[in-house]
Amino acid sequence: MNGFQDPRDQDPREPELPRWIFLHALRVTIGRTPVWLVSASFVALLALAQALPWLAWFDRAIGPGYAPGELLVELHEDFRFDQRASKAALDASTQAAGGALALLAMLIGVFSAGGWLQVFLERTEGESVRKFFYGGARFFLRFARVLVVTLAVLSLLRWVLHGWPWEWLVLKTLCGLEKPDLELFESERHARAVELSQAGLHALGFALVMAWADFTRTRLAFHGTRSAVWAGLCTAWAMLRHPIRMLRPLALLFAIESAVLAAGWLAVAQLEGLFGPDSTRWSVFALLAVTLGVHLGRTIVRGARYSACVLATRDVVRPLSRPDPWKRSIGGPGGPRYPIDGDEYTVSM
Amino acid sequence: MHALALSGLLALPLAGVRSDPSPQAPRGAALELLGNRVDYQIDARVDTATMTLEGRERVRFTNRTAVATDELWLHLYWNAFSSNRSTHLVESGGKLRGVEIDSGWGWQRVTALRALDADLLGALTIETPDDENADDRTVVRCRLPRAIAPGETLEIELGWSAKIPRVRRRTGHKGDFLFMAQWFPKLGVFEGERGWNCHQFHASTEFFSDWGTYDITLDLPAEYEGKIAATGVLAEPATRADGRVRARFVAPSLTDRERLDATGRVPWVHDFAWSADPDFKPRTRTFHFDEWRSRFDTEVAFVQGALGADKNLRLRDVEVTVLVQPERERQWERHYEATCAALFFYGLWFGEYPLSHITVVDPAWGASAAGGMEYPALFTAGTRLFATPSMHTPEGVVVHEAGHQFWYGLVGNNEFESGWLDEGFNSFSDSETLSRAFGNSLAATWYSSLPVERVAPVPGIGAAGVAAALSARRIPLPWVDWELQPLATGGGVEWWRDQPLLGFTRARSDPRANDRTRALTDPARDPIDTLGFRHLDQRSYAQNSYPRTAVALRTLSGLVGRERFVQGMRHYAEKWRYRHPKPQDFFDTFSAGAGVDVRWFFEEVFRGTGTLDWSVSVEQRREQDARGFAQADALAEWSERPKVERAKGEQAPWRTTVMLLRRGELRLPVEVELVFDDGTRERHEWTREAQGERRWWKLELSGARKLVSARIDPERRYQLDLDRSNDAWHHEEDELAPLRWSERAFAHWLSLLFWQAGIGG
Repeated sequence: MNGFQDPRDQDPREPELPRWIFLHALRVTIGRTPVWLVSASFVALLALAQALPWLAWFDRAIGPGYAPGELLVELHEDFRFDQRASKAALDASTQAAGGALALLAMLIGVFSAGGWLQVFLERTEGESVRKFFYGGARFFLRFARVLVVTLAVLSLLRWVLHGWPWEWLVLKTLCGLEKPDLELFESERHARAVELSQAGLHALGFALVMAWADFTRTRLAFHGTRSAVWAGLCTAWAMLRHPIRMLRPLALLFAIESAVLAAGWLAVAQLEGLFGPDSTRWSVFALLAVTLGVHLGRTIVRGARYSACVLATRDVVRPLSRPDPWKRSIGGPGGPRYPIDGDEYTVSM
Repeated sequence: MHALALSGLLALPLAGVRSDPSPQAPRGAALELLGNRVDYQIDARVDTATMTLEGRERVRFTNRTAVATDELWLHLYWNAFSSNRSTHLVESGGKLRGVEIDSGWGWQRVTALRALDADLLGALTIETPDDENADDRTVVRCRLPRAIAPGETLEIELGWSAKIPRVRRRTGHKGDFLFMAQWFPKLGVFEGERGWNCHQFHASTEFFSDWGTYDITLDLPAEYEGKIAATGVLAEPATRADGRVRARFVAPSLTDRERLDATGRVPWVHDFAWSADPDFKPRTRTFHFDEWRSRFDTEVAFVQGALGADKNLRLRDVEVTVLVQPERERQWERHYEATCAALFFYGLWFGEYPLSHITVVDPAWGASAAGGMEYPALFTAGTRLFATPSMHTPEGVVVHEAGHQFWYGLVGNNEFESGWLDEGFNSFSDSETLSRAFGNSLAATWYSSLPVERVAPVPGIGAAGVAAALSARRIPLPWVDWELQPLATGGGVEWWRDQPLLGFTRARSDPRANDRTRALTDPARDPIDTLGFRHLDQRSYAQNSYPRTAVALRTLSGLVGRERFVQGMRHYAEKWRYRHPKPQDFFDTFSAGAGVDVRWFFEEVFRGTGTLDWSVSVEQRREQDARGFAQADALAEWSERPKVERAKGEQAPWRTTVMLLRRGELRLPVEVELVFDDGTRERHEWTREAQGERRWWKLELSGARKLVSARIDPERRYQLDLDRSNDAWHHEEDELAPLRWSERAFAHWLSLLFWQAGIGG
């Protein structure tokens, strides 16, 4: 019996797999408006916590010393230089606080993953926010273990691509350098090609690890198991066996996210170009609207990733078979069930 | 080797003494070269298999001082790279341009020395005039059999061998790329009563030598044919034989020697550098004055007005050759444009560049240590594959190094002792040129060598310490000397994390403002006019020699007015062309040319470490109506004051106090501008004398006009002001700017934290 199956749901059959998983995932995610609003607001609040001290600082630094509009288009060099001492203090505290907020953000991500999966694995409509919070709490520790494993894998990836393996295999063996020093190349073009290849491979590997982590979380939730390592190994095997079926929807969702971002880049470039000494608050609000709009769009895509993972997992991964502890029992629907073979109860009929 | 050198020497005409002080007398009424003259004739062979060089040189030294000398001092610069015990390496902490040196050493060794019909090799001694470092071999001395009298010309024949170092500080090789600077034994400068000026090769100083001519023949492997650039021009077509190529260069060119420059002098050079690389892509185009005059006619008109209608400002055509690396060939025109900008503006302000040619060398990949350096008629630049024009790369370095053709190339200060006389002057001039020709530069953030012309509005997550650990960028593992770096990303991942096109902003930089930033970041620990190798440290030397001098000159321009400044600088540049000025020479000549007495400025700013910071603050309120009691005189009764009756709409006058404050030791006459709500403006001058009496000045104002802004130094003439944020007061504060920039901070952090959350799930 599926652990997510709502007892009120009388149809035990699995839903048919949509033709375009990524579109279906987007549709169902957009439909969960309260969930993505809540999810987006977590991160936005953290960012606001970093931005507010800067509002206060800019207010103090600009003060009466600069003409209205003088610093709207850009912060000129004299300003940047003259304010460097007070800015340095805020820079340091921003960087330090940023570390703590980054950790908090990762944990929020862990929580949100559980929330999204609970929403998508439960097939009934409604009460999405309650399901989100329930799922976030339910899977938190398991997914925190997945985070640890993910970081370990990313460390390995980095070491392979930036450490000794890269230096030995690529720089010394393939490229024939005496020492792993890019300046030993004949030309800058060669050096940059190697550097860009390294960055490209790292980006590809990073994306694959992220996809693997999403599927690992989905598998854990789908099967209700606890071992992050075992789930990760199984997921890796599944990805090797079904790369297209598993990765295609995520790749398409990545393209959607890129399109959202590209629209944001264009809008920001246009709005920034309009700033002048006579600009009003509406210019700032418009910029903020673009920022928030992009953030919401990306949050929806993030949610849609989990929907897609659920669908793809259902397609390629069999549910775990477990003995139904209530198989030999009697009792009506919605009411109590009594084991037949147990020694606890006797039943008079 | 010795036999070869000696036989070569014997083949040359016998060394002797000539009494004619100027064997190549200029035609027409040319002004005489006032300093010593030293002509070099060199024949050098490079073996690229062993990276060694064998050379013979004949030096003709004409003593134009009033004092005889019985010795010769020579530089052997490459011995600075012979070991980590040389003065150069000791002072730089064993590093050259940031690289720890453990290989690629080089050296020079004199193998033959003859003069006055005598073999003087045995008379050669090692000297360490600056620090008595027994391991430093960059200066040698030779005692002559007899003194060389004033006006005499001495011929010296010298042979040497050398090991070409890996290029780490301006000279050497990288692969088959050769950049040969300070590559031959070079005579020091005989300064008469002061003796020989021949300093050791320090980490922070550059070079100093006398004017003359060069006749250089280079023998290289044939692969370098057509790919050799030098200070001079080819005297004849290169010849090829037995797998080698021989190229003969003369500097200045023979046609240049027949042409008097705008100051009525024949051109000379005081150094000779050359470069060769089989990969060079040579491109040539000519600088034409008229093309640039039409673009900057306002500036031309201003300079003409300052120097007088009779002054001929026309500049000669100059052939610009750019030797660029194949992968950066697309940037060759940018090198050319930047060179022309320097030739135009420097020529306009300081006098014509007198030679017919100039060469720009783009160093090979891995040889950037040879970049950013000047030699007569040849200089090295340095760029990156994806650098854009907005970044002023390579424009900035090209303008600067081309500018050195004037400051150092024509006005030949002693770079060991007074580097600021060329570096600082050039820093000032290149900023002025860059801002006019190329505008402001844009800062960029680089992602795996690809630039984005934007920067983060506020800092991101800390890259070290606890912040780095919490954010999983650098997680130190306990008990092992190792750290995990799961999120220490670069390139594409970092770009995706940062979303620079979404959250970053543009940061423009006026090159002139950049001088101020670099000059005032650290407090001055030494005066500008400090001997180069006597600064507290390398940082102090760099700060004084470059940006601090630039800022001081810009402030001087603000003080005397730009017109007088141009007059003073032009007068100095023309008077000291082909001469070796000292700091006092500049101070005196500038004052004479500008027609102002600013000795106090030179004393306080160039020979002191005083600072300056003005500030302005304002208190403004409506006058209170008089209340209470009044008494007509001492004996009268007190009576209640009548209530002040005002017409409809009439208000009490404004009572405004403008407080000006001066911090620091320097005093410069400065204006303060007041702007009122009815559009009227007032200017008041706070004189130097008044600032000397008191550090503050209160302006009390009363009237119907409300003050809306007050600004000290309204034209921003004085870059030396430590803090310009307190130079102005505005009644109306900008409420939008803080909102606007904190929105950017929010956007930036939203992207960062969204990405970080994605790592978690």
